[in-house]
Amino acid sequence: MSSDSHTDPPSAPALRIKAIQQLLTEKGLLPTGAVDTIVDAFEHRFGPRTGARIVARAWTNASYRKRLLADAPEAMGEFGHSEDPHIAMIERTPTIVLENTLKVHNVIVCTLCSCYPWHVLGLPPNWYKAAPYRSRVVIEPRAVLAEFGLHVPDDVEVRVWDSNNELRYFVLPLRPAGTEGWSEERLASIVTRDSMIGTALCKAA
Amino acid sequence: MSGLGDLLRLDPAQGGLAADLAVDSGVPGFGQPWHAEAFGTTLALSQAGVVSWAEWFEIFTGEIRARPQRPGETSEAAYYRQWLVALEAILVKHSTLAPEEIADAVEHWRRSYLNTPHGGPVVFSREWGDLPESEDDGHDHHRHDGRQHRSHAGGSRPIAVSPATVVKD
Repeated sequence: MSSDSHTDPPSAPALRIKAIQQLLTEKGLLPTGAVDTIVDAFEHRFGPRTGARIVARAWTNASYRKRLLADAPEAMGEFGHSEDPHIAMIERTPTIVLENTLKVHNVIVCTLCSCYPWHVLGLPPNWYKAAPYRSRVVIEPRAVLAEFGLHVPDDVEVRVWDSNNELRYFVLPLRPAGTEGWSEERLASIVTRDSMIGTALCKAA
Repeated sequence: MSGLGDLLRLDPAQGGLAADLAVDSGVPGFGQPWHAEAFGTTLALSQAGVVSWAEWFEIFTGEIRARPQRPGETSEAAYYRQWLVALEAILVKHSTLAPEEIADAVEHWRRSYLNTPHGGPVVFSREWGDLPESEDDGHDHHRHDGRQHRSHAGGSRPIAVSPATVVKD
């Protein structure tokens, strides 16, 4: 139905979250502006460009790499924290950085839901949240990686890491050959989201 | 893509990983405004200390297991369906909100829309007439089996390892 005399209500789940927000606000449980601030950060601030800058610095600066592997939240914070407490809290998510080497390839998953290093990669892709990836990457990691077009050689061990509500993982990919002498900025431009999940390698474009 | 047939057999309700990869735009965002609202509300409640993130994780993962993706439902639609049910469940569990008051607020919101001329700002109001007797809203208050994520006590370890089968120096 469509008429100038009324406004069509949104979908049932949209009405439901509006109702929940309305009640929580009336009870003083939902701080004013917090939802908008958080959503805005996920739409505009958090994303794989942050992770890429971290990787590029780790590739070019040995002492930074060491700090990143020893205490990731601290080293990731060297790029600065938001002044907004809602955002800064997310930026301090406990995280461990897994370094890929010529002998070990790391890949991350959340087997039960979708835990992910939001603060450095943004929202996860849908496949990361869906059952096929969550279940199969643990059972047959090499076959799953092959479906991403990543064929891990037989002399490389594959390690799968299960993120959870307390701890997130982040993959430090291998620096590709042919990038000697590149600036941090140029290196960051070839670091992809999937390379930091572990389902792709970085390539000198 | 190789292995697709096997995938479909394993997971008939969905296209499997291949189908999920085929729709990956590379720039994940919120598919619907209400997805963002549900997500942001949960994080805000956690930050405000109204819900515990550990308990949220338990209830949300329980919902994912109990009511997985359905035939004809996208993985994204399933995910936010599970998210919203879990959010409501954790709030009801602690009597933060009662199911009847949620149902009533839904109906008042609906009436607020219907009573706003098209194009005008919709303002929530409870003044649009009495509601019928509160009925069961159909939301079943399922139990969660309490299965926990694997403990990480004793250090951080991979959940699975596929060892190198060839040793090269």
